[in-house]
Amino acid sequence: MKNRSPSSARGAKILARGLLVCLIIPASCLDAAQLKEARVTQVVKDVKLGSPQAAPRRVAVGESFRDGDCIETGVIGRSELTFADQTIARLGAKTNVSFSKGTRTVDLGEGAMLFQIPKGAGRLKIKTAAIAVASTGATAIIERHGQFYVKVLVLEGTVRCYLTNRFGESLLLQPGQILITKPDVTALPEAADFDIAREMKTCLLVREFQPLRSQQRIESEEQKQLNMIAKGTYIPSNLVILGRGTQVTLVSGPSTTPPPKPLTNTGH
Amino acid sequence: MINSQNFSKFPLGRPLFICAAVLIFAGQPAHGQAPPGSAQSRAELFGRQAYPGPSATPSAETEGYPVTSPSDKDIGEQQILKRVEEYKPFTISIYAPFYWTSNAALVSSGEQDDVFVAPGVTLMYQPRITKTLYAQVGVVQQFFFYDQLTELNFASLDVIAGLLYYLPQFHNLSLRAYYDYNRLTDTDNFDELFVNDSIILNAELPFRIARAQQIFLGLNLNLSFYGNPESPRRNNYSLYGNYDLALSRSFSLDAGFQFVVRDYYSGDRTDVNEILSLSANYRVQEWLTLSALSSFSWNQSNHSVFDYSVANIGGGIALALKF
Repeated sequence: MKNRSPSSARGAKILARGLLVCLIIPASCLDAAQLKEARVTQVVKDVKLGSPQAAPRRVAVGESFRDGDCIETGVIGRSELTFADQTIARLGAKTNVSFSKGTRTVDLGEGAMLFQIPKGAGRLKIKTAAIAVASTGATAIIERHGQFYVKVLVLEGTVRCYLTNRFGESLLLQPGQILITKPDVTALPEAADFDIAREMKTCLLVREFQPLRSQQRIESEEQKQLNMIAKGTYIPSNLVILGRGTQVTLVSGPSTTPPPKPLTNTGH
Repeated sequence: MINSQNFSKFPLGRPLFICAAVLIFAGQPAHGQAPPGSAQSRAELFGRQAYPGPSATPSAETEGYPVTSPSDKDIGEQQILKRVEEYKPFTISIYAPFYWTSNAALVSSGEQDDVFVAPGVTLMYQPRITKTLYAQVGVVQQFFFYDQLTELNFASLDVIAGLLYYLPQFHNLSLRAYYDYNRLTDTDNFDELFVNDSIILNAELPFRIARAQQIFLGLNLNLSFYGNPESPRRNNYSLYGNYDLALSRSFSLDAGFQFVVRDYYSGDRTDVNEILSLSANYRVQEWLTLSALSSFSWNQSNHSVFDYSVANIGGGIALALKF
C-alpha cells in the first residue's frame, strides 16, 4: 500500500474542512433567510404591504414580507400572516403592523391582532407603545387604539406583558385573563378574567379564518373555566365589552352567549 | 404575609430576648463557650419568621377609563368573569435551613465555627374577621442542632395569639399586635432553659417600586412582661427594611437590614445589634422553595464582653401548605 506523504494528508484534511464549511454556510444562511421571511396566507378585502423602498400596494396571498416591511388593513380588511415556524398572526380591520429582528418582533401601531405561537417555536415579541407582549407558546389577542388603551386577552398558554421602559414591571397573563391599560402607563394594572368560550364564539379573527392549530388547547381552557364556574370559583357577570374598546355594557343576563357560527373560510 | 420563602428572612416578628446580663457579674465566658442565654440570640438570628400575614392582600383597583369602540367587533365579546377568591385560614410550614456559622456561640473572643441545621414546623390559623382585620393563633416549634458544639443544641417553642389589621387607605400599612409565649429548652430532655411572655407590636409599610420589586419598612417592639430566669429578659426595639426582587416567576432575591436596640431588665446592659441578610429563593412548586441563605450580624454592648460579630452562610428547603 502506498503511503501518503504528511503534506498531502494535511491537504486532504484542509480540503475536507473546506467542503464542510461550504456545506454548512449555505444551509445556515438558508435557515436564517427562512426565519427572516414570512408569508401572507389570507387576505380579506383591503390589505396593503409597504416597504422602506416602495409605496404601499395591495398585497396578495402568498406574498412574502421581511424586516422593515409594514402591513396595513382597511376599514373592513383582515389578513393572516404565517411565519416560518408556523406562528400565525391575524390582523383585524384598521390595523397596521411592522416587523423587525428577523420578523420575531412585531410593532403594532394601531388595531387588533390575534397571534398563535406554536409550542416549541421561537419567542415572538409584540411591541406597542411602552408595552411589550412576549411568549414562546400561546394564543392571544392584542389591541391598541392610539393613545387611549392597549388590551391583551389570552386564550391559551402564558403571555408575559411588560413595560419596555421600566425594569421589573412585568406580569404573566394566564388563559382567560384580560389586561386593559393605557399605552403610556408606568405601572401595569391587575388583570381581570373573561369568558374564553364567548370570546371564541364571537371573535371574527377566529370565525372567519381556518381553525387554529391551538383549537384543542383553547377548548381545554374553556372546559377548565366551565369547571371553575361549576365550583363557584368564577361567577359570570353581566358586564360585557362588545368588541373593541373598553366600554363595558350591562347585558340582560350573564348567559347571553350567542349560538356558535360554524367556522368558515371567507378569505380572498 | 407568610410564604414558603419566609424562613430565609430575618425573624423580625419573633420574640427578642437577651440573657447575658448575668455575665456582667460572672465574668467573660470561656473561649468557644456560649454565654448563658445566647440561645435566645441564636434563636432570633436563625429562627423562622413565625407569624404569617393574610394570604389575600388588598388588590389594586384596575384602572377604568371607558373608550368607545372605534371599529367593528372583530376581536369578539369579552364577558367579564368575577373570580371568587377562596380564603384558606390554615397554614402549615415545614422548613430546614442549615448554616455554616463563623461564631457558633456568639462570643466576643475565641470564636468557633460550626455547622448547624434548624428544622422547624409552624402551624397557623388566621381567620378573617373583616375584610382587613385578621386574628392569628399559632404554634412554632424549631430545633437547633450543631455538628461539633452539641452543647449549644436547643429547641424553641412559640405560642402566639393576636390581631393583624390592614389599612389600604394608608399605603397598605399593616399593624400587628400579639401575645407571644416563648419557651427554650434543651434537646435531650426538653428541660427548660428560659421562658418568656411578651407583647409584640409591629407596623410595616410596603413600597412597590415595580411589579417585581418591593421594599418593606417596619418597626417592631417586643415588650417582655415576664421572664424566667430574669437575667436574659429584655425589650427589643427594632427598625427594619427589606428589598425583594423577583427575577422570574420562580426565582427571587431578598436583601434585608435590621437595627435592634436590646434593653435588658437585669443590670444596666444595653446592646445594639445590626443584621444584614441576603437570600436567593427558587420556587420549585407552589408549596416547595429552595433557598441559598446568608446573614451577617454585629452586636455592640455597653459591656464589651457581649460584643460579637458573626457570618452565616447556608441554604434551606421549605414546604408550605394552605388549607
